[in-house]
Amino acid sequence: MKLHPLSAVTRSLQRGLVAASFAFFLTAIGQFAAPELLGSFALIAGLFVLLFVVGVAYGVAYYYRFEYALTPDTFDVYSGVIGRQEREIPYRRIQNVDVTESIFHRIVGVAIVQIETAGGSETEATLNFVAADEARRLQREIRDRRARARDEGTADGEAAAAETADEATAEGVTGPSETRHADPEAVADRLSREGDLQPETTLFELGSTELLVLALTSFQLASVAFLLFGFPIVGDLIVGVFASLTGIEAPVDALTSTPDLAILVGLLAVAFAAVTMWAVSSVVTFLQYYGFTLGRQGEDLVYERGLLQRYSGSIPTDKIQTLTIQENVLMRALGYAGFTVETAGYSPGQSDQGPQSAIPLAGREHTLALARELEPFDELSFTRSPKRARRRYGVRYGLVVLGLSALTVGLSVAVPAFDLWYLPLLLLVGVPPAAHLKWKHRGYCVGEDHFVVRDGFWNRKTRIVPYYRLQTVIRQRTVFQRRLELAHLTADTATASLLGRQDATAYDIEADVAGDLYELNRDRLQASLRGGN
Amino acid sequence: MNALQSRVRVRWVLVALVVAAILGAIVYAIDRFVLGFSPLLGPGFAAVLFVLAIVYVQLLYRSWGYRLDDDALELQRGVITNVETAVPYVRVQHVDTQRGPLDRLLGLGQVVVYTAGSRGADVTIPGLKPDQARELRNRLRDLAIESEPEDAV
Repeated sequence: MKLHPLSAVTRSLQRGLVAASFAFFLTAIGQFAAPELLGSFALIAGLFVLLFVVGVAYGVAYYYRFEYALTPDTFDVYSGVIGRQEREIPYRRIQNVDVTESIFHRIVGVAIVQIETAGGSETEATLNFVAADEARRLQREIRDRRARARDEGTADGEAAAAETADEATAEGVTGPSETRHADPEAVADRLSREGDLQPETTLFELGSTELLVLALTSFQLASVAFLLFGFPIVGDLIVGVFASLTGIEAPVDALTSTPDLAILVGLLAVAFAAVTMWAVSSVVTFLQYYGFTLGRQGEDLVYERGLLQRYSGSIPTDKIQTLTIQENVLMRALGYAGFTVETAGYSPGQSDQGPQSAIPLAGREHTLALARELEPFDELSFTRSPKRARRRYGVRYGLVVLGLSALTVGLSVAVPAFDLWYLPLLLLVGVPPAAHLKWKHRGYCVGEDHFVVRDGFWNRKTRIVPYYRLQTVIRQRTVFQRRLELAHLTADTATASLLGRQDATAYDIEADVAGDLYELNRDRLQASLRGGN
Repeated sequence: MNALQSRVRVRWVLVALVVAAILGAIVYAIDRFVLGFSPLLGPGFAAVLFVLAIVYVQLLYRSWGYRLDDDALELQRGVITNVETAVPYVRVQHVDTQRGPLDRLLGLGQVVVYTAGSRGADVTIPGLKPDQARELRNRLRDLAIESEPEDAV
């Protein structure tokens, strides 16, 4: 099958313009090499047209040379204009089929389909783009076929000898699926099964209150980028606000004429930046999570979200490594929480934003109940680190503040007009509460089937690690920790994203408890493997 | 716990010597062009650094140990931060032996064990005899196969 014909139009226009813009680049070089040759306008225009035609031809050729097909065992993509690539992806290995529709796509009624496998760090196949219905059909069809390939695979694998299991299942799948197409009864069966799979059971829908709370309590990294670009405008605004508040019509230089005034202006700017970032974050989050729904379809969790850009993806539940419950200060105050899951495979939603959000935000109890549907963990009761850990944090923060003060003292000596050297010392008041809060929100919990750790005051993350997903267990102690008989214990699991790296670490726990947990985690892993999970 | 080959200290000390020499040269250059304190500052700095490095290498060598347990490969190392890692055999993705030029010169080799984990995704055991390294690699491979990983992730 081919892509949507419209994709040929957009792609050839795109390629044509890219290629044509190359003409300017070439003439710029030519100006240096042979200035007399490039005097004529006709030559540049000719080059422009020629390259545009080449680009368009490439775009059209791409369309005609791109083909995909659903075969009984594999999803095939044949592509490439000059260098041909024939890719066959076995259904069994497909983890996600994601559908993205930008606002343009939605107007025209098309969508981009991306197929992901566990291997590699990039998308296995991208169909850019097909009709929206076709995208949904592919998504369903592939999931359906994969589910059956796996079913047959496991049934076959049990019968076959262990070492030839893979070959045996491959053959096992071919046999029945080929006959299925010939046999009318089997076709009817297949159609009815498709009907079964169609509308998945909805697990969760993000309500409008929840969406608002989520938007107002989220922080998005994108807002930092926005701030960097918007800084010149924001800077002017600050000056304007300052002028109107104080009635001083001062030029910008006057504001930074003395270091003390500069610091005050700086603090004002920081406050302003924080408010702006919050506002931008809210808008971005609102657009991203508008109309979020989560459903279950067989082994997959299927979600859909987005106002302008609609995004639909899936989370394979059998690949879930860890589950993280996230609640930042504001969410906690309002009694909400959300959770993300880490699957070992790569997925497009994951690459730039860390792990996938399964439930962006819901009432705390509701979130826990939904999380338990994925990983049935017990009641969470956390053991805190010993009190001497809290002292450790206090000392640490105190040293940071003193270091900062030393810096400002040095600065006040070097810069005569700078007198506010004592300003950082005010932070000392905040040290004991900060240390206490840090300590208070850290903890671990040893469950029947899960190891759970919690950390973070501003954005508290509770990481739930099933024992059977453990990769390595790490215990570490610095010199200072050894003196206090404390240790960190990390239960490491597989992850695909380096950015959203999630370490399930119990910080500063009793050294001998850490030793016990180190053994316990390993024992439980072995037990779960023997139990055949 | 098995200790490393004592020769590995020579390797580490050689590396420290190079680092100390480079840093000493930088300090010497700063002194020569900026401070003008004493031409002995650079070499003195390098010498102190080198002595510290020798002590550190000795401590590091003593802290290092590895053991093949019945369920996992266990490693322990670190002077300032002491780290113990357990790599269950089921989780071993693949095992390498590596021998750099310095290793070959000293008759050493190292084994690198890879897992799918996020941190500790690869653990290195340095300072083994070449045949010892090969043996350890084969042993780990066998143990990984024995423990039957139906799915490594």
